[in-house]
Amino acid sequence: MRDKYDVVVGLEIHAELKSKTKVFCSCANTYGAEPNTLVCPVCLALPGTSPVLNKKCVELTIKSGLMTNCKINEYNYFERKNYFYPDLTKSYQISQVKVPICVDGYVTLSSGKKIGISDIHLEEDTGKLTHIGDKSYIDYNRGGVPLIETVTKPDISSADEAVEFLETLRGIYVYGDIAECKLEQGGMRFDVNLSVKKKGSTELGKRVEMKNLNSFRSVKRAIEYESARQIALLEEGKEVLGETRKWDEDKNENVAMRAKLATAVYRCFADPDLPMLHIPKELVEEIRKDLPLTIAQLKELYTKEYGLTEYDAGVITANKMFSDFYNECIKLYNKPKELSTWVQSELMRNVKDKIKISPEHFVKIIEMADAKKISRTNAVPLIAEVMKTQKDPEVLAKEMDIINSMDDSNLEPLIDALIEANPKAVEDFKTTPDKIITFFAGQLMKQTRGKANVVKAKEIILSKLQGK
Amino acid sequence: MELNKLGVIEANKKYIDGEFSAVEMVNACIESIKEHADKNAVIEVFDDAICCAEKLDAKREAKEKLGKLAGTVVLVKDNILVKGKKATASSNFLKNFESIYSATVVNKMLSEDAIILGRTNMDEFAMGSDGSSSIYGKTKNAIDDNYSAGGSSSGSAVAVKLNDCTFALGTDTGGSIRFPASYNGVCGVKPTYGTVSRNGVYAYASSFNQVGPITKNAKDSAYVLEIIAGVDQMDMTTLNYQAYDFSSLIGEDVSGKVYAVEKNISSLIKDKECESYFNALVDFIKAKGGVIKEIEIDNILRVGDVYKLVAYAEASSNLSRYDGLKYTTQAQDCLSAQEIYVKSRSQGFGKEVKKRIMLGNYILSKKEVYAKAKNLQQLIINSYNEKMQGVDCLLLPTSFGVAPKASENRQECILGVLANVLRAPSISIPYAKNKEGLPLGVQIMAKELDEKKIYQLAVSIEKNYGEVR
Amino acid sequence: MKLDEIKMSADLSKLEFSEEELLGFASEFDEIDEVIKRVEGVSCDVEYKIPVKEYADLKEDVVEPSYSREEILKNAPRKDSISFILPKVVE
Repeated sequence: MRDKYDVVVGLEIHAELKSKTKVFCSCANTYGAEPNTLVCPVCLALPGTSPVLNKKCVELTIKSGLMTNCKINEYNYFERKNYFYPDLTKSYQISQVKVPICVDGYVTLSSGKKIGISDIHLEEDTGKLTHIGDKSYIDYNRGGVPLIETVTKPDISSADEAVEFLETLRGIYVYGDIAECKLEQGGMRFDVNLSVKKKGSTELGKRVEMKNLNSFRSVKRAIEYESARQIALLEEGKEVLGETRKWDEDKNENVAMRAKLATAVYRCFADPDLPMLHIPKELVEEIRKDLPLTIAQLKELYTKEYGLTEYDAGVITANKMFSDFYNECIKLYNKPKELSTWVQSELMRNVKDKIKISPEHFVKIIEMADAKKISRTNAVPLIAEVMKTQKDPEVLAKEMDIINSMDDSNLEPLIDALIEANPKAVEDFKTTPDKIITFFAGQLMKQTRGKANVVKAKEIILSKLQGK
Repeated sequence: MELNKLGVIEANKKYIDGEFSAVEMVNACIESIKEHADKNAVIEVFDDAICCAEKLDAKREAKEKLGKLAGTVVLVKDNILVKGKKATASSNFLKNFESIYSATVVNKMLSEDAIILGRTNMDEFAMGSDGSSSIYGKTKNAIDDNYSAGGSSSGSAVAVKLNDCTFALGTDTGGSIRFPASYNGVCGVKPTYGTVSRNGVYAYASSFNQVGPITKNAKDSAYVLEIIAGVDQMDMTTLNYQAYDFSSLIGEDVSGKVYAVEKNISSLIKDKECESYFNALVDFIKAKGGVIKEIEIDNILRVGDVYKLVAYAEASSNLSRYDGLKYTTQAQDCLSAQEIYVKSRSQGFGKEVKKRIMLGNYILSKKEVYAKAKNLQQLIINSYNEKMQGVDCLLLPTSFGVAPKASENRQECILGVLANVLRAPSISIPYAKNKEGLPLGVQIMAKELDEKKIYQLAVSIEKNYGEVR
Repeated sequence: MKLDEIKMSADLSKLEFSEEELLGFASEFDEIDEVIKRVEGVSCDVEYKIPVKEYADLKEDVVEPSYSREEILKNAPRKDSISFILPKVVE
């Protein structure tokens, strides 16, 4: 039955921009502050205040457009969307309606399919209501936080495609340092527009809008639910109503919203408090020159230029924090594969949410290990210690007493003593030489508390045992 | 010396020279305000004014550098915010509102050592032209109680005429400084749009509104305007100039200058008295060597239409922030947000304000009407700029006669809104008095940013006020 | 017809009026219709030139201290020491 229909999906994605301040005032753009502590006359909409546009927000919007192949409107302007709601201090939201900053771009999926982007515009977030008992409490901290709204063309044809698109888009915004897209903090939110049509038909079905979804999972479920609902209706010979439906995350279904709420008359008009914004072409080119690499571009660099495996490149780029760190380290330590191993084994196990070691210190530790000044085993606790104290690794290594201080000539008597004390092992050398060498090396490291140069030690052990 | 009668430049000079103390000046003004209490022009005298005066006197005592407004006392319209003081836009809805920040113009005056004495009466939200919609009651004409004080900056104009202060600030969206200036015989200017910051000034129609000084003479007007003008980070519509020169042509001869009268406007003058005074002024300028030229601006009779559509639309949106939730008075016993909005706003706003909000929302719900009105505004501006090529200033009456009787309603909207729609500067200076002693103002306009040409002519007319009459 | 439009406008304006008051607006609305007609009647081939702000002149992204919660809540009609309060908002 489903095969007889095409699902047509368009998405609207809101992402909070990563600027220091709000879009129209100088209050901090910070998540999680005490209620109503990041508010000023402008974002409270006191009499006599008007918006003051933040340059950084414009720059980030341009960046989002360039990274999604959009054209940048040299002249663009802001409009007022008028509606009353307690979380909206001015009773209008400043947004871009007719002439936004970015238009007409696309994002390419792994299949090669391009999902069109009709525009990306800059606007402001609203405050937050908390409902307790029979009262609601308003916190205006989030009021005026910058948002970009990305509007796709109706090019998406399945729930999985929608999710892949969103993951790609989030990757672009995170890697572009445009938005952090923390879904659990509401830093990225979605509206889904969906209609179905008979396969091959050019006539589009009635469009249903589902608002304010806040996870990829709910987008996926909402699309699956709504397309099934519409197809079922059509199969029964019933009509799909063009309406707004609210997704209920707990019940896993959607319900129609009251028509009055859904069909808001926004009465948009050009905001007379904000001049037209001029973005010179040269500026756009400057921003384009400095664009960071996308995940896809980074992976290509890692595999083609650095010789990492697809798998390793994937692990490092899975988190921007690690790929940023890797990129910094590579400038100081030009052995990409070794560095990759160090980052994946010695670094990642030491990091929870933040890398508290500088690339300089990290590379210094690698170099100490390379020079056999410390053993690789001791590098892990050393990294942990640097993260704790921020002290220089060399100083710390001395304090921790893990510097390889064993002179190679001192090793011989120790090895002789060990061989003397373990006749059984000497016997077994003939059958399992590797195992025995490792055994003796281990014993030696134990005795020297890891300070022996293990490579050299193995050489000596081998020659001694072979001589027996 | 009656200190409260001094003009701005005069007071500043005498104060710096040590001829009087700021405390004496403030007391003189407070006396005057008390004496004229029945005019209802000043609605609050700030209780810390004497204290500010004492501080200023101490500063002078300490031989510190004194600002350009030291020794002057200013009253501000009730829609201009002063930190820690009430500012209500003379509306019931904000009768308890105390500002937590100061308007940019207020800060600029304070940094030049002005003493801000209090706030003046106005039409609610600056919507009106006779001062009648204020919760504080109507302001009376400075000369004769039976006549209108004009509006919406009624209190500021009356207070200046009565010497309740050295100067005052008003706001002008469609004649709100110039009408009361004309009716009360003082000088009021609506500067080029974007010259003075609107930050900290209650918004009525963002596209048209400007703050301007109301003064006892034109020279003071240029002087104060230079102080309060300038680009402001907090108001993105301010033009990108740090400082302005409005006064460098004052005192220069008007001989050889070209002054225009507008054909359509001239034909609207019906009042014989008004017409004869205006013609006398034109003859006077000719006699002084000025060249008079008649021009005709395309679609000039449509400026009132443009004004209504744009101003009401913007007002309906600008006044939406007054919702009974954050700082405006909330109606009693509301059970929902919707009820708070509707009841608080219905109880909070006066009749004229509600009417303009209703019409504004009606206009905005019609697709593209606002944009079309703005486009027509541009068309008229283009024609004005073209016709004003080679012309220094445009002369027109400020009103079609002296102040009307308090109950009368005169159709002269076009004279008020023309300069606002054109974004152009316009001054009103008193230039005649009728038999009853009621004053009459003439309006001098120029192209955007050509204020200094206006002041050149204004001071010249003022100097020869006697001759003209 | 006109009354419907007046009612819709009252609705958008969040204002309430008696039936009589609503009817009283009819002449004002008619007048605005006339104004609109006149404005639309002018053949206008230009677009309003919104003043232009250069990107370079925009405000820099520098945090300034916000106002104290006490100041922010100062004029609020219903509040506690932390938030603005209203009857529960039902979506």
